[in-house]
Amino acid sequence: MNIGFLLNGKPVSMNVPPERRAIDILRENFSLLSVRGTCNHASCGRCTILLNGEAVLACLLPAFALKGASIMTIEGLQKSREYQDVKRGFREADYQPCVSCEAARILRVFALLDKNLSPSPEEILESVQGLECRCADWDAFISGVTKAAGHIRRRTRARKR
Amino acid sequence: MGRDERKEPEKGKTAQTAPAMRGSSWSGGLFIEDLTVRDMLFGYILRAPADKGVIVSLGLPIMPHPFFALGPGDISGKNRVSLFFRSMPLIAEHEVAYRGQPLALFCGPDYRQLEHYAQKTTVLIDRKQQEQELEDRGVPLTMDPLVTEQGDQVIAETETFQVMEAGYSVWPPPRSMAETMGALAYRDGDTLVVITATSWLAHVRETVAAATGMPKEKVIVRIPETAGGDDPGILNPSMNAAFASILALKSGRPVKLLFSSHEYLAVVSPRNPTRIRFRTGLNSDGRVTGASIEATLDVGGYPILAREAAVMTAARVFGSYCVRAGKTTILPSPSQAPPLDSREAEMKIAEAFFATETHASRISELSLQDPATWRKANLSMNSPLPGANISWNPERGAALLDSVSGRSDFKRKYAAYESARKRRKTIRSTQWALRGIGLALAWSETGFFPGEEPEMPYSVTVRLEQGERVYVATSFPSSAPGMKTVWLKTVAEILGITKDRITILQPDSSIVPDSGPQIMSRGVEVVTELIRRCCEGITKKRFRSPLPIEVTRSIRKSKGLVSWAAGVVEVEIDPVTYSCVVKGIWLDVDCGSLLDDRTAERRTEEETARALFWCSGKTDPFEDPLGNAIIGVPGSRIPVSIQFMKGEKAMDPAGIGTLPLSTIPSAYVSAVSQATGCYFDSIPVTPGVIASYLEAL
Repeated sequence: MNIGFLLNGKPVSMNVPPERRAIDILRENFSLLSVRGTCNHASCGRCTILLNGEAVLACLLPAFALKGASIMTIEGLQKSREYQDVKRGFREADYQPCVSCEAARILRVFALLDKNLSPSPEEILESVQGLECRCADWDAFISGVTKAAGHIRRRTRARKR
Repeated sequence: MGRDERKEPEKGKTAQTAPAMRGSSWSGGLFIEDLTVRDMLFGYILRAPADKGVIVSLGLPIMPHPFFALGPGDISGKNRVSLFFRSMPLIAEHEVAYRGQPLALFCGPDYRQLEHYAQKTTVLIDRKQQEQELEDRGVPLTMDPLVTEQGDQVIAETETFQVMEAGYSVWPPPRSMAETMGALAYRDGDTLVVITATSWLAHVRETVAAATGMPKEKVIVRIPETAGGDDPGILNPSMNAAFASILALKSGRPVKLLFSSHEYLAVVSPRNPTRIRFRTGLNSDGRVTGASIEATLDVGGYPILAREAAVMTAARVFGSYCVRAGKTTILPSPSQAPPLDSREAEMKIAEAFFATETHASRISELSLQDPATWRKANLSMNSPLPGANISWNPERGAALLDSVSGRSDFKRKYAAYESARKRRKTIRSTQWALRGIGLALAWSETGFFPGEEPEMPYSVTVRLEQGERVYVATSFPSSAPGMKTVWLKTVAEILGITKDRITILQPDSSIVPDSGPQIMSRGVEVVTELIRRCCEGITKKRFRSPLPIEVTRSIRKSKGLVSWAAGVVEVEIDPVTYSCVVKGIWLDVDCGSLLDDRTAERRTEEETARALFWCSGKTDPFEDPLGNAIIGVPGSRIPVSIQFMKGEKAMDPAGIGTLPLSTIPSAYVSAVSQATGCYFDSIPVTPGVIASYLEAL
């Protein structure tokens, strides 16, 4: 099946067999290594990607489901101002996720802040539900996301002026 | 010693090249699944579908080139993996000894095809034939028990006022494995390079050299940049590395073996519970006059680490308490489970403490004393590991008992809940929530396994170069939780330089000395101590000798420091649904001076969460951050208070080890027992278990 989609802002197209999963093509065809297949059973959450702005698990997603969609991975987001804001918020809160879950965690924060720039602690925790990692320092994480949201809010406001 | 610089492949060289990522690393994290080498093949392990039996036939499918399969006869070196004087086959030769034992290796360019070919293999295993053969050969079906005796049994019997008997069975805590495991092996000139996450670099090198028949000097083992935070163990990484190496040498091409965390957990499958039976004599003051204790440990299909697990259990079945005369019999029991790896062997400590501390709480109740007072009055002044080099310090345990019972108001609450329980006629008649509080005390020694572990030098090298750059070389993985933070802090403080100028070299057997396995808090006690000594050595030479200054320090014997923890858990049980809400956890820890406060706190919180989920029956404490029981979440219904004993008298850093896992489960079960009036002899204690115990009353 021939599919075309936007990958990190760039249009791509390819032929995919029906049994291929999104994670397979993102890792193998596009070398996007931040999408990790640690469990391959939708339990670790390391394969999170943004599909039309929603955080989804690429190990559950058939590759043909990417047709016509906009896909964002951390490699694409790294160039954005919002990414710098999130990293700055984390730094200020003295929060450093481990390299194992960092990409998935930031993507989920992105999906949250894209819709809600004043999230409550419960909403912040809900955004990373299903992301299995021992590194979480919840207080610092919530503080980091809150600070990141503040930076994005301020920048957006300044741009409007 | 030099920096870990890997050679770029030469142009036109088609065979083995240094591993590279297929894409750009966005964060610098390089995992085993991200590594790839030109012309790389995949490996696949065909595992035994049955628990035990003689392999009657193994029919491998015909595969097109370059696919191939190997059996035990195709291994050019020894088909054995050894650990502390005991060994087992890498690939099953004649009989299957445990579920999931490797039967054959498959190799080829397409992983899915390998799975397909493996499924086409026909395996016939005869279980009855094996039992008959073992009997004919006179092979014992059980292992020799470890029996220890102390004190005068006759005097003990004359002083005994009452006898208490109880048995406990403890399932091991569920293991969470968050990272993909595996190994990548390839030829680089005349050397064989193996990349794998392991808790003991030198053991991987020994195993690979023995299995391939290559000299040790020609085998280089590296740990990937990101080996994951969880303990990968010793045995499985060495076996995986050996398999990848065998296939790489046979095929002449690089080979990668990968297991998802799901597959890996299926291989390291649940084993049978540890069963401990106590027969305890008490005098009229509630002191233990004599004890006879029998413990059965599931040590899996081969007795690797069985002796170490037995010795550690034997040291803990008396807990921390004084027993005038006693006999312990520890029976390592072979089973269909995989052999014990280092993590499972260490967990035997927590399993033994659960039984001992739950039993101690029952004794204190029988002798009409509160558990804190009984424990303090009965602390043993003698080391429970006679002959082992440990600094036994019961006064630290006593101080923790005072501190934790004071902070939690334990004695008042215990008396109040005890009174409420005795006044209550039946649980069904009460309309109030049932409350209980429990306490447990545990200790953990650092350093080396007591018993037969061979003496090995553990070394670390630190080098100071021009521009105040420091390189630390240790084979101990810095990805172990909190280790990197602690080491950077240690070096920065002693040498007075900023952390960004310090590099912890990626473990690589060709450039770092052996720093031993990542077990029993050796990262804190041995490696951090060696780093400190190296830095002090550099300080002495600094400004006197020309740069670079390189200092290596070694340790052969551990100091055997003993760290302590006392934990209190308070619970409230709904009398209708029996759902259990933890109202509070207090944990006081004395693990010597803290190298990094925040790291210690986080480690203890993580292990406390794990312990709580182990005893309350949830599967994974980290899967649901909104769950009520998650610790550290603002608004969580479980207030957890962890306190580290600090002060001028603090001993050297001793590590946290399994202390939360050794205290929290027993304290939790004692609390639930007090609340319900039932004596639970196993964990997890779920609402269903509470209901079944209450029905049996």
